Amino acid sequence: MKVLYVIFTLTVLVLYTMATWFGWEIASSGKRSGLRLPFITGFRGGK
Amino acid sequence: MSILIANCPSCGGTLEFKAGTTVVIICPFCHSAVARTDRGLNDIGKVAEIVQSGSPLRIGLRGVWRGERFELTGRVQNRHELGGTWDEWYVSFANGWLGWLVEAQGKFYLTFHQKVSDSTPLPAFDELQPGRTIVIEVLNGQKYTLIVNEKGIAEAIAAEGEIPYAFVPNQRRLFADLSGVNNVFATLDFETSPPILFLGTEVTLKDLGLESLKPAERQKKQVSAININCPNCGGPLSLQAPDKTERVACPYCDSLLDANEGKLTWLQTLKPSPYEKEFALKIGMEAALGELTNNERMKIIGAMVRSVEIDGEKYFWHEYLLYNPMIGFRWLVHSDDHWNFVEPVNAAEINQSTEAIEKAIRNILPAEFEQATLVVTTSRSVSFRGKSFQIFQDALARVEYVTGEFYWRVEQGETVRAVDYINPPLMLSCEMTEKEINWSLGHYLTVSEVQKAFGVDDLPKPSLFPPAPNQPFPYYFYLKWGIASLLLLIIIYVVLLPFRSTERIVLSQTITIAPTNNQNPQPQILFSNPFELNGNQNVKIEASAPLQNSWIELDIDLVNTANDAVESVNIPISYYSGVEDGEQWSEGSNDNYALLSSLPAGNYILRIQATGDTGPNPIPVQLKVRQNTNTGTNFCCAFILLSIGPLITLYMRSRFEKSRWNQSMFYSD
Repeated sequence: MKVLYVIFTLTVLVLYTMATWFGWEIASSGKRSGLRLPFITGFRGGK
Repeated sequence: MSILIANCPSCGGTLEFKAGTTVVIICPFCHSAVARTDRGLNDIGKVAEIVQSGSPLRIGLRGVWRGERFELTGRVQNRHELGGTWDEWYVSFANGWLGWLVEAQGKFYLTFHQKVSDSTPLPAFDELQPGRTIVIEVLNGQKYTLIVNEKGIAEAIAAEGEIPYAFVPNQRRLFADLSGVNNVFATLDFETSPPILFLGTEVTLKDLGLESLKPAERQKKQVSAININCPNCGGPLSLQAPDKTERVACPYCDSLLDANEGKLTWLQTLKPSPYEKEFALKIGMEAALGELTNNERMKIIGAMVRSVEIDGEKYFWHEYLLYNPMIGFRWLVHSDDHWNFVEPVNAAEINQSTEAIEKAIRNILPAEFEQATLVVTTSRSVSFRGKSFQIFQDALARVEYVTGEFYWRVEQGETVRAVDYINPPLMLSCEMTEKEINWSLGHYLTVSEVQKAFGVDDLPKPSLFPPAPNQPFPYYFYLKWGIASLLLLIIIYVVLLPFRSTERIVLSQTITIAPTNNQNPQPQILFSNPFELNGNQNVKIEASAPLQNSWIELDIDLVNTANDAVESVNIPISYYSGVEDGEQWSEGSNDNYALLSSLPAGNYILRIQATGDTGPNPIPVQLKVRQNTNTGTNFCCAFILLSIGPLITLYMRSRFEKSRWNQSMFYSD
């Protein structure tokens, strides 16, 4: 269980680092957008 | 030093008086105690032969203490009125000093006769009570604050070598043992009035220059067939510490036997144990518990069932007596499938808080206990070696059943007042009778540690709730790692800051929305100037308009001019204000925005479809398109995910502590 928890936290940190470096960002899109903290409508990567 | 040679008046054997301070010498041939007087030598009686123990010391042994050479010249073996023996070795220094080296339960105390100042007369025997603190000032003006550990009667049962006082075989004398901080140890001998003070410190063999000594090879005493067999059923008994054992429980007939100089006497038949659980460990099992036992193996030589009664309900647990000749005695406590390793500590190192709890105690203690331990009011907390311990339980602990060997005259039904203080994973316990007070420190052990130490794998595992009183919260790892990962997230955020490009405005343009008819608003289509977007950067479209009690809605399409790909957003803007009952109010805002994640790099144009109530005047709408806006959404998402672990752990810890303290008689919501 400890190992799983460490893997989980490291995964989050690695993903955050990669997202910041490559400019990935979770944001909303579509006709009803403008949310500041989106968890709903999607994620789009860079390039 | 010069040696005086004489002949024993009893057997004629040669006696050598090596120490000038010798008053009585034990003849090594006939074991007569021979007193030296100005008229010659007097035979004052036979002395029992010393019961050989695992002691590494012997007559004639030489050592060095604080640079001063010494030799052990005599020894008296004493028995406590409650059972248990200890040795007093007489230490003759080359510089003329005379010391007493007490050896008890694997510990050594070197003391010297001290005269006390007239300003602090020593208390009488009856004035002393276990737990009481007294202040003694010796002649050089130094003061000692000492706590009474025990008082009782000592009987000199055996001797050898040269004794520096008028030793009388089997003489009984009153004594009290005291201790102070920094391992100070003292004995008050009430053979005379005023009593004699012996003051010194606890020492190790290393302090005495004797660190190379090993316990003497103890050969199993070949006593008579009666003595090694149970006198009741004849079952064979194998005593692990025959020199120290006072009571033995025969496992065949459940008899409690008294052990005296290797002879066993039947005392009583033990009542069956009222505890339905069997002992998890067996007599004879050995284990080394790392630093707790100095990496030495200790053997289980006895086990008992004890109980406390709280609110009419009895709670049982097991205690195992561990023994090693170099270490002495220790305990392993097994309660509700939790384990604790218990070792004795110096009472003088315990500092009790001034906040006393008396009300709860008076309700549970019989009158005789309350009176006897009056000097020890139960404190809400005590401190020991820099740690604070909170009171958890104060109850009468009773011996319900015994098996194996014990170094005191244990009895079924024996009761002591037991007070527990906790600072997980430690527990300080105080056990008091009217004659002695003993403090001990418990170290919580996990089941896996005990299994590994004893080489077993079938010990029952405890449930998480309720926890043991001093059980540490087992999930601190998740809390510490979770907080560390949050800190790491912040560090990464700060470190990566220089690598983020600054925000840039790719389009800033004002479009004008023509006046509309509110009754039937018609959409207007407008286009922005073309602009270029970079890849890997988010896109923020801002719109602001000077509205007054009206609204507009912008449906904006972000069109890639190369492939006509469209990304649509909706930006409503409305603003209303007025005065009601003399108070100004407003609702809405004159600006709004939409945020998109990064789009493919390229040229884009905004297609704006505007509807709304603009009134009779055209409305200028300021449009701005920004890229690389730092919204913090990645950070927030990561922070929330990493906070889950610590938050759950904190909640679990709260439940854990509440469950722990729910078991305490001192718990209050």
